[in-house]
Amino acid sequence: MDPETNPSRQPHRGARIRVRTAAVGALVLVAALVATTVWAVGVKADVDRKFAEATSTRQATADSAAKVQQAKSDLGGEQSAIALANDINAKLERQIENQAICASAQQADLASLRKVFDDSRANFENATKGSKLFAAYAANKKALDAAVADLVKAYRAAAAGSLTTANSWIRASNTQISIAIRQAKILDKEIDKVNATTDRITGAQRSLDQRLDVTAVTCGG
Amino acid sequence: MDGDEQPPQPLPDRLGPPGPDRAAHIDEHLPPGPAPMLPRPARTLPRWLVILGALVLLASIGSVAAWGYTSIQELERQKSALASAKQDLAASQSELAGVNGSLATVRLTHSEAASRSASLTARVANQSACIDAQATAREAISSITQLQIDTFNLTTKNSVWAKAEIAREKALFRAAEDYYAAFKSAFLGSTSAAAASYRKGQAEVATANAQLKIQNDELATVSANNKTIMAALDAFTATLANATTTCAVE
Repeated sequence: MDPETNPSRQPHRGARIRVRTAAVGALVLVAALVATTVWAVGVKADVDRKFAEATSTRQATADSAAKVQQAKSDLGGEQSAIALANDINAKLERQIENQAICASAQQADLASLRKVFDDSRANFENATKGSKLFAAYAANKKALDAAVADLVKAYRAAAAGSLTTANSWIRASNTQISIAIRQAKILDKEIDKVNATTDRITGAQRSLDQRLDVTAVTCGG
Repeated sequence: MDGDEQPPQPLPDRLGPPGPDRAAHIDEHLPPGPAPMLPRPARTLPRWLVILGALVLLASIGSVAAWGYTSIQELERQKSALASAKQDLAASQSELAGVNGSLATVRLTHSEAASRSASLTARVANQSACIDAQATAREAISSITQLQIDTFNLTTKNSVWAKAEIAREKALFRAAEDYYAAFKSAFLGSTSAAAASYRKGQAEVATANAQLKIQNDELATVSANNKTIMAALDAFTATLANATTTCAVE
């Protein structure tokens, strides 16, 4: 139909826009919208990533802080334990020092006791069988017994009228008495030696007893 | 938009004024031959619709852009927060590393202290064992020494044995005197006096023998003690060896 015969179809340039033109414009705008949306979504994704990363980092920080707290607590515990151990060690070291002094004193006492015993034993052996003292004692006793026995024989001979025999027994008895006296002198010398040793041992024993008292105190007894 | 597409015919103002002359005017300007075909008129949309659509799209773009812009700001905040969190994390990790380092050092020190405690405790135990062993040895040797001295004293001055020895010697000397008197009386023919002196001598000998028995009893005690001392001495040798071995351990 001719536009001039149908005024209603006459194009109105200010009121209508061609579809192609509109479509192109729409395409441009939609493209811009899509691009903007892609950009915005990308940014939002970045935001989400950063947020997640920040959250994760904060969590890691919190975990780390918790570990720091735990480590500090452990550190405090360890330091307390060290202080306690050092205290115990100091006491143990003092105990070792004291015990060393005690053991040393004991060792010296033991040596002295052993010496006293050995001296006592030697002194005893100097006065018992096999010793010079014992030999002198036995000889003295034997001579004395023999002298008495010879006197009995002298009496019996005299009573029987055998005066010569009696006199010979008297002489024999006198000889035995001389032997007894000689052995008694030897015996006395040996007894003097033993007594001197006994005095020395007694002195050593007394001073040792005092030391043993000191040791008992040193050892806490 | 009008410049995009040219219509095939001249502009309307070339058609001349409307009215009866217009057809003639058109004829003058029409090319000879058959009349050309007019193209179909272009499809159009109402301008308001296009504008509305454009506005909607622009609004959408604006909204999305605003959202994106907000997101950028949020992104900046998150970046800042992340940087801050990373700094905090680094600081915390650094502190943790420091504390862990200290902890490792302190644990080593604690371990060394504990090890020293164990060593010292063992030394104390060894020393205690040494002290106990030496105390036992000391008791033993003291006891043996006392028995030795007691045994020795069984035959010393003022002992039972010594008193018996003195009494025996005196009795024997008196016996000797009595027997000599008996000899002299018999030699001179005084039989009864001789017999009396002899009997006195025999009594003194009996006394001496009685004292000798006392002495022998004491000597039996000495011998028994001596055996005890020898046995105790053997045991003491083992005790002393134990003390020496125990005290040699550090």
